[in-house]
Amino acid sequence: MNSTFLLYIVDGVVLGLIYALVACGYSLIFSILRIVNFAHGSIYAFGALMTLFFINQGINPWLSVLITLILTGMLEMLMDKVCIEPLRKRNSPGVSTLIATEGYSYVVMNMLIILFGSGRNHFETFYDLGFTINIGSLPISSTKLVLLAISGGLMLLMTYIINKTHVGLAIRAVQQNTTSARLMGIKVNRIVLGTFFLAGATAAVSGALVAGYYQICYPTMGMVMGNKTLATALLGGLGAMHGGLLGGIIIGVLECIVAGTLGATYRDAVSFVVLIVILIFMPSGLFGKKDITKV
Amino acid sequence: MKLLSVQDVNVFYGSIHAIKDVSLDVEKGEIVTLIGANGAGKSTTMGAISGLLPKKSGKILFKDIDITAKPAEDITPLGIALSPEGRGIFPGLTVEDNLRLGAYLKKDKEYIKRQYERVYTMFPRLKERYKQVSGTLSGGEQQMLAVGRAIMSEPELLMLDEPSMGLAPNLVDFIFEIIVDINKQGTSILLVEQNANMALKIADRGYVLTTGSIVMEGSGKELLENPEIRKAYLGE
Repeated sequence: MNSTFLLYIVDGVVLGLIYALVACGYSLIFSILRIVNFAHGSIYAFGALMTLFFINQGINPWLSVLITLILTGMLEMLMDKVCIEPLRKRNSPGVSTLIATEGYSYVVMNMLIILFGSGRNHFETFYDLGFTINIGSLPISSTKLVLLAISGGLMLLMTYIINKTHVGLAIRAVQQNTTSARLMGIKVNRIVLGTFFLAGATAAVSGALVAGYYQICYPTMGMVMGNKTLATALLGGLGAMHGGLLGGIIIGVLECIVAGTLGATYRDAVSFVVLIVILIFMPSGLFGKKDITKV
Repeated sequence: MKLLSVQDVNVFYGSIHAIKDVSLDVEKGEIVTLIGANGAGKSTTMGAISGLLPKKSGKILFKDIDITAKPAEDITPLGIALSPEGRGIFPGLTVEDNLRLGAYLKKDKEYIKRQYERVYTMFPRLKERYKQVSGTLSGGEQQMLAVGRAIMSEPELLMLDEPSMGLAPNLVDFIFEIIVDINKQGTSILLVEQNANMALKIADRGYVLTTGSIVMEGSGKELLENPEIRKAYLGE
């Protein structure tokens, strides 16, 4: 294997972890409400632009990410309160919720355009530690290492929260059987809100990291990312977080190989080709449950 | 003392009048059973008491607290536990996680440990399988889990909806013995059953529900000896 190819793989894995982190948000919400949140991409863009906004006010970049993380989490919670919970209460069909999230997506995106303009903003990489390590002949920059560490760390944290904490147990209970969860004394609406917060928070961090990595951010940046990471989540199996990780890495690596060999024009197409293939041949993804109808 | 008092409760599903002016009481320490045919409104009554279903009219008091308008998640902490129709276990979670959820609102680790022990003593089978994903248990084991989970928080009133459904006869006997045992430990019980014979044998009192209305009530013994009941529900 030549070193260019290895480089594609390293880049692909770095990218893949970010995709997986964004995909987590889809999976979390899907596993609880059995809906796909189409506002996720715009909310990710909100995370990037708000971080930039706070950095431009002279606030420390990491603190900016932290403030944005909380704000973005609240933006997702607001979405649940104003457009998803009312539909849930009326037992509306899933497609209404789907369209409501799509609507919220445009509200957020247009709000960003009003606030920041529709143009592209420069976003200085705030996590370049200024060194490069060499593994054999393979140079890996500090930005990539930081990106890997943060996205990997956050996914571990999410896994820990869901599998090892008291709140996580309640989240898993609601995923399995909402009625029984209520009988246990679990306040389901609060758990749903908490889940939306987690989804928003991870989207915000990924938005800021990606914007810093490519040194650019703009209000519509979430369109492609949103769809790509939905493909990631579907490939892994919606609702399965570890599946999302593998899905992210597969799509990330494929993307880097295609971009490197066929040219960057085709890079965004990769995930959609993968998406079509999974929808045809593996509708429940790599780790998804065969039967996803909710009882 | 009246532990539970249901007064003239009406529940509708859309335009269908599911239960009509249902009134029933459970005294502290009693086993009360609600019998009736399929679709008579037994599970609806349970759903109404536990707060899963909205009531159109009527009143429900538990320990003299008005719980009519309270949702299920606010009723559970008062000391009512329902083991629902169809068991309602969390199939993807382990046996132990299911039990832990039964006492979700309790934080005291020592307390939880004691409750695990209590449930495992009653159902040794669950102890053997505590790490197993509960969806892979047999029907009988799932029923044990549903009952075990419901008593994890030591409720004052345990409501059991068809605990014998789909079980082999020896398991039915076992479950009924457990119910009597739980009652002896101080828990009052409201039991919904299609197996009227077994239910009336262990019950202090019983109510008969027909198409949404209570048509008869009496002690377990009286109902068991009533010729009409024998004909309608005991297959004679």
